[in-house]
Amino acid sequence: MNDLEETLRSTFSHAAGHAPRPPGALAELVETRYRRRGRRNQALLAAGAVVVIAGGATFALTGEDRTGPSPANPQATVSAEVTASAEVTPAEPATGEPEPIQAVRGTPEPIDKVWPQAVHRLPAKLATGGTFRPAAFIDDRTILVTTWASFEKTNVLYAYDLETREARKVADVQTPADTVLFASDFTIGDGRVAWWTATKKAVFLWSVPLSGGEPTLVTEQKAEAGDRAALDPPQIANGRIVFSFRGGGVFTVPIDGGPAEPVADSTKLHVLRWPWIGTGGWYGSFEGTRFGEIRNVDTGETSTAVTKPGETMVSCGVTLCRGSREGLTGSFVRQRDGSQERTVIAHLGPMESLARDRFTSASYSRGKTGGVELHDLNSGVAADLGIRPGADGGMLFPMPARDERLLSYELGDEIMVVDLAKIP
Amino acid sequence: MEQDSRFADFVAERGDALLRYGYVLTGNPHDAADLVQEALLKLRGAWQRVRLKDSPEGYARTTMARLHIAAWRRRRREHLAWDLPEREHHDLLPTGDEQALWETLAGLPRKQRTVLVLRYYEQLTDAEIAALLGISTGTVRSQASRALEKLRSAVPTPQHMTQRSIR
Repeated sequence: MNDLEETLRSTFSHAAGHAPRPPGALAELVETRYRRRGRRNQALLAAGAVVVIAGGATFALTGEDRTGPSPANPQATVSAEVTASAEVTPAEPATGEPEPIQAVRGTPEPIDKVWPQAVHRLPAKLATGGTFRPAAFIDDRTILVTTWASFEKTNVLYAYDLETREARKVADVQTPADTVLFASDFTIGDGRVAWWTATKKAVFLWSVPLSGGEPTLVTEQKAEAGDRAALDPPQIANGRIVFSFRGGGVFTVPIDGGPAEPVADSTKLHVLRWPWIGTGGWYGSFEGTRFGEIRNVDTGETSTAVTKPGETMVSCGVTLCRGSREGLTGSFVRQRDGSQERTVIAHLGPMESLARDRFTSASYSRGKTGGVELHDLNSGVAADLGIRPGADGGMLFPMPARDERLLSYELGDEIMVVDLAKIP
Repeated sequence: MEQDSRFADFVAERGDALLRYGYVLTGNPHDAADLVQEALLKLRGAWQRVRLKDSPEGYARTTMARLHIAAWRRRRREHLAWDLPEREHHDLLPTGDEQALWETLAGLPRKQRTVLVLRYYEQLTDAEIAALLGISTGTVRSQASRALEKLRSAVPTPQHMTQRSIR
């Protein structure tokens, strides 16, 4: 090796010492981005053509027009352009013989034709001129909406009347100095709305009466670096806010302020749907089935979800689990005990649960067009949300809100609000 | 795919080394961070397979080298998932020769620079480099030769050999 090569070697070696340092939460950042990208790619791939139904459920969609069940065409036609979406197959029948798969070809109808009673089309701006974002249902005709001072930085909460389209201010949302996570996870209960913010050093829980007022600082929880600096989505129950740290640990605190109390034996657990708490949570690293082990804090009842070898990405709710396995296109959905499995040709992300145990959104494509559909896994009915790809081929993909009732998205100059509770 | 805690462990343990590698590959902290992020995203997607069958670090390093010379990357850079520290990264290297070389490296075509990094930082043989980048051994040699020629013209006679601490 000559001098130049030797100098080159030492140059690289010394220069490497000037490299930037990775952030402590690099793995988590990558994970977040991985999931976001997965969803985007899913939307870009979008899906096409086929719907496979089984067991009498008519599912989905493609083709140029909706023709309804077609006895003359009992076999699903799977074309190469089909990549995702809308496919549902039944659990393997008890006989062990697969049921013949039937296909229904057709284009889903617009959602306000399929479920008109559930859809509200609203002007995208408040009377005062600001753009708003729906957060949750307050009651049958009122939703909680937010306005932003800047990207995702909520500054005002309003109660929005779906009939009169008038917005009543509930509260100003203050963002304390040094806040790194803006107001998140607005949740409603007991006549109040609660949310949380975080600095690098602490998490703050807030609440305010829906009738209006100044937000109350419910509790401040000092945080170490890492997981404890953020919360899972809190819930409201029996006059208390139930919250858990993303690193685990469930607490309750009076909704209008007071000392937080840990839930017994919950050090590594997360709130699922109160009074159910369990393992894993939605965020961060976790090996195994998310909420595979759950416990009812009130009754002591426990439940362990059935997971089979080779399955990945298994996440469970109180009643259902969904996940993937090698060779399966899409996701399976089944009861926690492993029964009643169905396959949904839509990739459900780790954060996605089926709203009301039945609704999910999925993308599709048909020739050069694509869109997003809302699927009702109970009835096998799907409806077109009207969303179309932008110039870059991407689509925003609305997900049901945490209240499991609100689905909202922008469509041109309008905001669409779907009340999932009004779908029979 | 569920996040595997071993992925998080891997990133925690090897993130630093990957950043160093990214920095010598790209020559600047932003591209280094971007490259590492991109490679970790790919690793994350392939984690189950890679963890069982391959070396995650080897996978990440190979991905970084290939990505760096892939044409599509020159046209776009995604937003970084993290903020780089404000500090100045252009600290001087220990000798004038090294500093001059480092600055000259910035002017090399990516493929040439990548070959040099693989040869003199990663200490790979030309055959290993060829396999990693999917090019012929002859191409590796010609790329390295052209790159060294340019460097030699910039730093005619490296001095101070004895003052350097060699790893």
